Amino acid sequence: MHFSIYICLVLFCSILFSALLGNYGIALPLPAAVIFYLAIVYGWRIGAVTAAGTGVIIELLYGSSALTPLALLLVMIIAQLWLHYYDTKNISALIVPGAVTGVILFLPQLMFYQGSWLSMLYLIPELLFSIIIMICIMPLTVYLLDKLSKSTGLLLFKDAKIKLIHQKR
Amino acid sequence: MARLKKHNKSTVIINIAITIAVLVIISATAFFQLRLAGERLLRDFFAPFLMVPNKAKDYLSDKTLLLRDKTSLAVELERLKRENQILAARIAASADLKIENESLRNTLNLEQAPNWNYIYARPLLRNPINWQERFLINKGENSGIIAGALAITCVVIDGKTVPVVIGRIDNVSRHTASVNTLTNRATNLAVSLPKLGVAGFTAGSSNLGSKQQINITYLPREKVYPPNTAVFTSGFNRAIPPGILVGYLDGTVPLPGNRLYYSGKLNPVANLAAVNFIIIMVRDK
Repeated sequence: MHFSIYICLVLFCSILFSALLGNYGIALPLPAAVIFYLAIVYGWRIGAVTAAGTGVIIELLYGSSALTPLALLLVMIIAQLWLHYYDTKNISALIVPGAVTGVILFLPQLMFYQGSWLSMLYLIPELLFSIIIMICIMPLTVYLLDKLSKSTGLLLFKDAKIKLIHQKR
Repeated sequence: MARLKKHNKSTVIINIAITIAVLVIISATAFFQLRLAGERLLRDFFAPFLMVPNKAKDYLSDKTLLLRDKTSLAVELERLKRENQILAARIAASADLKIENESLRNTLNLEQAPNWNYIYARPLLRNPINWQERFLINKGENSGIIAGALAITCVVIDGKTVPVVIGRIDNVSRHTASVNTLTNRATNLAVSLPKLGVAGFTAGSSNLGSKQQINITYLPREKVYPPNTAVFTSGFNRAIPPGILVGYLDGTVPLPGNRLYYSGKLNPVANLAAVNFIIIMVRDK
């Protein structure tokens, strides 16, 4: 029960923080990094529910298209693939799923674009920015949330792979 | 026995399928209502948290004011008093015009000009992805804002402060409202080009990099459109006052498959990327 309160609080803070930064024109997709973390630590079911829920909240808050829940569900799938095919102990390796997540989160932006196909080239710097920012915040978020989880006695990201191996046995 | 079990199983599957179908139909029909209600609920929930930076800024600016010395505050007070007197004199002068206008309207049996309420608001939430298309403001139903009202801001043109259009109010909750700007495809604003005696409709924007231009459609082909022709609100919709500057025409192109109308590009006067305050014009009932 106490981990559900923790999940809600972490998600609320991430949504609020990214919304406040968004007001200054900085697109910081912190909820995506948090969902990646939750999907690895607590499994795909909690990952899917939090991804869909957070996506719906972000969509309702901004009143935009319905693509954010889908993008976040994709992030959850990437988290599961990462958990199954890679070791979770190495946090610095998270720059790889960070870069992929950056590309996924950029896709909804194309929905709002009203210019010609050729003028879409102007979006390349924004795509690069999205990738770079996710490369930076993914390991950082995982590190900070693991620190928080350790101090509150909750499940850890670095132990997720071991937990999975035990479950398989 | 096995046959009975099979029959029961198929009945359960059919019942589940019917329930799912009914749920899908209900959610599909109620989707927009549910979405609207969800938006209102969530925005009102987040509004106090989103207002914190603005409140902190106001608090800091108040405190900075207190740090100023008495002499500079007295000078500022005097300057504001003078400005107030000038504005009061201007209002008094325009009162004569108002009376004259009313009597002329009575003579011509015209309907009295409507009164407008002006509600001052500030941006509360902007999405970096569609920064120029839509944003949330810190005033809502409680302040008298209604959906469809016109959102304007003021810009200085040739030393004069001129009200210019930003967009229209889309969805209103108790404490917030969302503004669809001129660049939004959903904002179809009736506009007029009084110099040429024609009207048209805005229809979203087309952008090339950071430069955004508003599309304007249904401009009659028989006219010639010189560049930089001023475009104003037409007053076609009673919820929107006429004569408010929208932008300047940049050029026209034939509407594909339409031999009667042109489509044009419009440069908005308001800097939609950097709106710091908004005035909402709501018609008096």
